[in-house]
Amino acid sequence: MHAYESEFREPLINGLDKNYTKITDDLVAPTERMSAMWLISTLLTGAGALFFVFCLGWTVWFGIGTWGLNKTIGWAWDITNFVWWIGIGHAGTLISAILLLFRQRYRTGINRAAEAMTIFAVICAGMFPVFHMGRVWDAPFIFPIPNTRGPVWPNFNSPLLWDVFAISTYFSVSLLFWYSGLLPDFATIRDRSKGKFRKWIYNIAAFGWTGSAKQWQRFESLSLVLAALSTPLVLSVHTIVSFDFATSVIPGWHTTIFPPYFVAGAIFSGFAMVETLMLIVRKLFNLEDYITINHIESMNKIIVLTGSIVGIAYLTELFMAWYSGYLYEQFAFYNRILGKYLWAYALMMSCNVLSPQLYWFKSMRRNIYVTFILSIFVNIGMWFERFVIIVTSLADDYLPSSWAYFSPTWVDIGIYTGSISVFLFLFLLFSRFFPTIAIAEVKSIFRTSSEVAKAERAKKEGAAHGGFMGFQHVGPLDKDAKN
Amino acid sequence: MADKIYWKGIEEKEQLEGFRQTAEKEFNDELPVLSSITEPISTGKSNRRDFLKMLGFSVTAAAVAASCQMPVRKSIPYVWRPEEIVPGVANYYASTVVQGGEYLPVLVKTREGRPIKIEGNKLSIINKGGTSARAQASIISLYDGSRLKGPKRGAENITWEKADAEIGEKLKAAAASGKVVLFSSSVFSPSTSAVIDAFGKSLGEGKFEHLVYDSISYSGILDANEKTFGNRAIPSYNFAKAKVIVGVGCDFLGTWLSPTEFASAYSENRKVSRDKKEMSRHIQIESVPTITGFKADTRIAVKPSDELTAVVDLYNVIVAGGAAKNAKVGKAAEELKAAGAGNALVVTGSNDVNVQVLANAINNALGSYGSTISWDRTYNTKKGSDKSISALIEGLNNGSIKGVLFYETNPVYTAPVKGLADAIKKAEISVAFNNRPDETANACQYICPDNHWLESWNDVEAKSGILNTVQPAITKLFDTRQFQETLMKWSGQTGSYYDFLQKNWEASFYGKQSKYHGFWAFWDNAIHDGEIVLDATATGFSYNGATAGEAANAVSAIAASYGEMQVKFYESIAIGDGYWADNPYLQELPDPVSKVTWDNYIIVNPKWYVKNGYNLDPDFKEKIYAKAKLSVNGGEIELPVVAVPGTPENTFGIALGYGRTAVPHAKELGRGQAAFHLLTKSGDTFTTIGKASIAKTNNTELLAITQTHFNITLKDLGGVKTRKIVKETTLKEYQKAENAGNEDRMEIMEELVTLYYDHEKPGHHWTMVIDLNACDGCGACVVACNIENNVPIVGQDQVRRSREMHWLRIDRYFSGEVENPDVVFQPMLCQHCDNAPCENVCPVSATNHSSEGINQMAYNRCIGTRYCANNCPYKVRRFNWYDYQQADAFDTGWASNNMPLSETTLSMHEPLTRMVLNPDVTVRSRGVMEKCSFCVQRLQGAKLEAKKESRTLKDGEATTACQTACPTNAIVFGDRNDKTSEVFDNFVDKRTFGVIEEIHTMPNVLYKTQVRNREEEKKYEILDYYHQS
Repeated sequence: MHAYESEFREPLINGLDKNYTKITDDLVAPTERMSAMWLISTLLTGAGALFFVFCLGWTVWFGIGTWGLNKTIGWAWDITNFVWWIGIGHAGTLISAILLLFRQRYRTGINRAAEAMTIFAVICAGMFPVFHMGRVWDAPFIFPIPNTRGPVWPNFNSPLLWDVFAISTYFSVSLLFWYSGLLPDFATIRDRSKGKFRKWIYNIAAFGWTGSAKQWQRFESLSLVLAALSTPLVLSVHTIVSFDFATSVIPGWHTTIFPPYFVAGAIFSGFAMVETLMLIVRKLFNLEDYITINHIESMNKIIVLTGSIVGIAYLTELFMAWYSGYLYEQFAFYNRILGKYLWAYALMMSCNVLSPQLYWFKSMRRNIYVTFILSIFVNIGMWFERFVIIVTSLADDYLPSSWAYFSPTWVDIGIYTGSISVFLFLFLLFSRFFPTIAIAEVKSIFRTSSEVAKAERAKKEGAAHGGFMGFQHVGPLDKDAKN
Repeated sequence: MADKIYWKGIEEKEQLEGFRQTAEKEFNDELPVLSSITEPISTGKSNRRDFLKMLGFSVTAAAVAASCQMPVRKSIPYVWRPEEIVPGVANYYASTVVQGGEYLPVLVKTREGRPIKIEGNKLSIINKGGTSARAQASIISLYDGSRLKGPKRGAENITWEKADAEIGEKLKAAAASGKVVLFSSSVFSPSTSAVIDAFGKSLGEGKFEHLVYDSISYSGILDANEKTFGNRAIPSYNFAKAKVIVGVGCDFLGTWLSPTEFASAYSENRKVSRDKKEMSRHIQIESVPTITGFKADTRIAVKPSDELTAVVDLYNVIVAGGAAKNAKVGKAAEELKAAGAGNALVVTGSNDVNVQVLANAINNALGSYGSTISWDRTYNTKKGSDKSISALIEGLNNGSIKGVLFYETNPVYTAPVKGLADAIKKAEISVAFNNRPDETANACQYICPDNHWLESWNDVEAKSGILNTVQPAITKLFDTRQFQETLMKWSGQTGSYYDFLQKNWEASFYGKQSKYHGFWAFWDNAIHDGEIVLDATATGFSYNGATAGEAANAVSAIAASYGEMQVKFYESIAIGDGYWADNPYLQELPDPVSKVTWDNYIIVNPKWYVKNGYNLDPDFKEKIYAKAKLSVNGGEIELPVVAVPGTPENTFGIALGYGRTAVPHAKELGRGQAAFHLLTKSGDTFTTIGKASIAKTNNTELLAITQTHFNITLKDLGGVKTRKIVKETTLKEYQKAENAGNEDRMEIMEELVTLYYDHEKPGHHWTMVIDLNACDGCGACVVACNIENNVPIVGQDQVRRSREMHWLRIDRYFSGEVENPDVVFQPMLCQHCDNAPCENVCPVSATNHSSEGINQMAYNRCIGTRYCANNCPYKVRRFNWYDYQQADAFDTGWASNNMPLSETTLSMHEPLTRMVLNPDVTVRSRGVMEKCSFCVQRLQGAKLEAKKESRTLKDGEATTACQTACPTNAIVFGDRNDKTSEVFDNFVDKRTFGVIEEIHTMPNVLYKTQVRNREEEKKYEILDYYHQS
């Protein structure tokens, strides 16, 4: 981590007043005081979370009939939400695992929050496959449990069963990864704690971390092992989710392009959600120095890349439908673009494919307001992508006699908005009690990528080489650059 | 010290065999786990540990059972078991549906003494085993909780003794000062007529009159026959014999006269096969579309008034030797003439005497009498006169009628006169015999509820000389009394109606037959078979049509008076004259033509619909329909407007029978608007045609329509492509090549190569083949399936949300131009794919494939992910969105889980109504998927019967409910592994195809191409009119 870094790279930790103590102070601060803003938003989202529970209770008590589904459209908002949340949950693993392996230093500022987001998104996602069941009380049937009913096993041919394995694996590995990363930071908080109870609880949370060299060595190894383990998961989970549709016979679902298309879409929406959250968090907890414009720009680059991949996938689908010469496929896509769900397709296209194209311009990539609005757009667009795939394909499939239309009920809307509340509520709790930015990891790049370090190096190099290089760009002595 | 060996006994010291064996084992006794399960404690093998286990288990079980409140369900064993009842084994009794104008010889299936299903009586020469939707549904009216539970005076419940005494006295008084009238629909039971006669005599000479009035009037044809043949009756029509059939505004497959019988006969000559490449030619001239018109080879769409002039045209060409105004009708007339004497048949549904006079003249000129029309047996089912209603109301108002009795009729609702309810109140005594509340009964002083036909003894002579018996299949459920017994009591006759019936048969019919010797042989066989055919006697009515010329002029004059915009009122297949409105099965049966349930509406021309701005919801998102106010004959009616292809412009169709006010749950079962009051008289008869004007209103209505008009053909990308759902051809093409219209099947089958091995089906391989040529979309199969398989009724709102539970639906596809399309009816049910997309996606294997080719559901295993339904290309799977069957309902009071369900749906699950449930079929709970099972319970039953007799199953023994219900035998079912079976023969027929087979689902339900007997080319321009706006 202490490799040479080009002076042309922007620092990842801004502020010339930074040192290790200051970093600790800044990053632990949110856990040590409570803002009114935090309290209000937590109470609000908490109420939303309770409404979510209420709507689920309503569904279980009265039946799935309280949703807007019908005999033709058996999945709509439920599975749309599921895939949407799972997609959002993808950024965390990508950032922690793949970017770790690729040694992308900017990862350190955002990985903790992204991982937390993953955990909460997967929790939200997991609710839907469970509660969309007509008989949720019989949900255990889905697990391959040896039982006294004789050889009754789940159907290993069913992609829904693959989902169960994929998502539970993903959740456990992500949880492990996230939590193991938290250990040294919990220890940091513990060590600063004044209250006895607080010390005790953070000590337990930190698993009694002492910071010995052996512990650090094992910690690093574990990170690498988990990174290696979760890297394939980034690709596999959404691939398997896409199998829910790709293995069916429904035109518009039965598409071999789905796995890469879904994975790209997942990363796309995941990064967008990370941005939405981080832009709020850095403002709320004064972390602008740690989550810099540089971080945001890096994420925006990934968004424009994955957004364009998704766009190409959309166009490929259309081309393949035309090229197949197959009536049902052609109709499905014709109907998707120009049928009764035209509005949904238009929303999806403009949010997912057109809006990220703004990021080809550097000024846009580095504009916080544009980024925030676009991150919301992308999330809306990606929700509609799943809605378009699921609902338009089901609504008009093979026999015109059974075509139908889906309209959501208040329960559908309540469960969806409620799940967003649950997600935000959990995230707010996390940001209050857990270090939102990985303290130890940020410190690990302080020597290479902070403004202070760069300034120091520039000073040294300036002395050695006549002082040209550093002064021009990022030298700490250049007053303009600092502002 | 030397090692000392201690021993306990000789066995150990000597290491005897027995000792070693026990010493090697840690536990001497056998592990008790298995024995405690398989052997009772009393054998002594169980020990202390088992006892404790048992104790623990029992205490836990008792605690669990005691803490969950289970509803108490009493099951009472037979103390003396009736000889004929074996629990679990169904008994069948021959009987006859006589209810609400519906007449059908049937078998009643009873289980443990409860009638649960109606099957057609195959011994009957009338319907040959076919049934109708109404007959199938009539069973639910037996268990209708809203039936009257006993006699009533006004709103007050009284006893029969009291009712008899009071009414008897009042009748005497009424007869003393005036006349007593029995007002009824056509009575076609000879013994009932005898009872009525005796009752009339008991009141005194001239003191009694029996007025007969049919709400769906056949007065016109009866009067015309009286005029031209001197016989006020309707002759038999033989649709099987006719080579050219022309129907003019006559829905003989759906509602006219004896539709089940006609459908059965009609289809005989409509089916084509390898051995019979001929079929009849059917031309239908009609305004508002009917299934008969949709089944015709050529449908000539005309305005309602032109249904009348079409008959004049036919008359002019065939009889008078003139020319036709309508060239198409003229062509039809030429075809009739060309058919040759005795090969043609013209029927018209008009209630105008003159039109029927012309029809008789035409049929006479075509030589139909004696061939396709026969006076040998005449219909007794329709004998009413439209004059009766005015006679009644005048008599009541001028005081000449002092007492009035209503039997099997509801004139307050159905008669197109005003003030009848008030007039009834003027009578000194008024009694209704209806066993359910209705508008007329509400206006009467007394209600003396009649038994349901399933609780009655009776006889029926629907066609002269063909006697059917009605026998009770269950004892009376309520304190009702059969109408005949009531009349006998009031006329002072002693004995039961059953004895009277027997005596009447002995006296009247025994002598008219030669088959049985001895009355008891005759009687027992009559009861057993349900039908006795006496030798035909009535013959020799000769045609005297001198007045036909005048009639033609009169018809032309009337037709001209209807103006530009015309309305036609019609009888709906399900609801009829409104009698069946309180039957939820029939309310939820989609109308075959419009596919709307639970409502009536104005049928209009699709282009007119778009042009006049009715197209509020072109994509059928919420199924919002604009309403219009239609003025006719000084009355107004406001109904939603529905476009149906095939309706001529400026023609409006409205179904009668909706908008009942006196039915239970009137908000649901009385939906729609009553239209009878808008009928007017034309001459002596009521006409169903009216001069109308229409105005759009700002109101809208949500209609529960199950199938909307969407595009089957894709024209927009790369030429016209049609989905391979239905296939059709013309007779000419078929005569040239058997696979006409189905040419692509060979190619599809060749392309379906697979790497996977084929699952063997060593035993049976159940297969169904449905002949699209024979299916007329009547819906009997849908209701039969509902009742056989305990399919729940979900109510209007749920149907509108596309959640109807029907396992079997009838899809309707149009082709050709909007004005006059071709139609195919396609019964669509689970296709039991051998390569089923639903099976491999179920995460818990709740749906799987049997070795007999059945795609089966394990309801208990289903967790309700609905993936199977999503992945079903045919969309035949049905999900229990709510606890429709009330199987899981907790009685929680504050918010029970039945909250979102309609009153009607809930009323279907009262303890009384649940008696109709088929005990062989699981009642599905909330959250599980269900679908057609090929009536697996019937298949297993048939297999069991064969097994008991140690033989293999014979073809035709295993049947499905839809198959037996079908009046046209469109559905053939059986074992395709049996190469001698009928289904195998159909399976290999070149007309046979599977729906969207190219996706390799390998369905076990196959269809046979529709063959149309006409010259024109196939038309594949498929309708897309809604998007033209």
